[in-house]
Amino acid sequence: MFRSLVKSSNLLKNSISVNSSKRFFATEASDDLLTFSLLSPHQTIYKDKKAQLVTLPGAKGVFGIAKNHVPKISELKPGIVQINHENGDLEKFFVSGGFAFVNPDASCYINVIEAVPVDQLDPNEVKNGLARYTQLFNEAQDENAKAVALVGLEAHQQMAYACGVSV
Amino acid sequence: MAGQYWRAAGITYLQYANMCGSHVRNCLKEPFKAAAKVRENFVSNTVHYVNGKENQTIILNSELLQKELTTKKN
Repeated sequence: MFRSLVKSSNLLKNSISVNSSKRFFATEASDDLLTFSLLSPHQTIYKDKKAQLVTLPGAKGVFGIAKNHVPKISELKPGIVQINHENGDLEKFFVSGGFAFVNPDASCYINVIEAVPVDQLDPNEVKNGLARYTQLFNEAQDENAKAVALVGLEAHQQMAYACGVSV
Repeated sequence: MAGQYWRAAGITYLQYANMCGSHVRNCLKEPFKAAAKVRENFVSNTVHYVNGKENQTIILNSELLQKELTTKKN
């Protein structure tokens, strides 16, 4: 009986320590934000901006970056950059490709060639481009022409997805 | 095709990035598209001198580059 009492007191201690560590994380969560910059050669869109989460179109797949992400450098392809802002607002940019750097100090640089808000894309142009590059891809003979057409096709597919045009 | 198929076809990263950028600029709504097109323009003249005399001039601008891109596409 004595042993069981000791056990239960240990359990109690453990549960207390678990609770206290949980509380520690909860207080941290309020400023658990990523600092990021979204830059293109001709415009600084965001500089040292705080956000909850930034989702990026990596060349090897879409990935999200929150605070304390492991440092990495990733190539970006045409796609949507989605920003979950500090206040919970959602913002979407279409980027044409570039590079994202996650630094050891938990900040993140997103360097892209073109970055436009998604609602600046013209659905009609996207639809026309999609048809044109699908045709070019099907007609292309040599490897270079095929690759050039495929680059165009992929870019337009992503834009179609971004502005809600059915593929 | 997955990964960097364009690199296998002999396209460099700069060419790829420029192509993607120009596709996005082409698909913008009007006031933004005109602004983006203005930004895209550039002119460059390279003059080679031999013995103090103009020997060869290379003119490169965005229109010529566009032409080259379209011939490559076709």
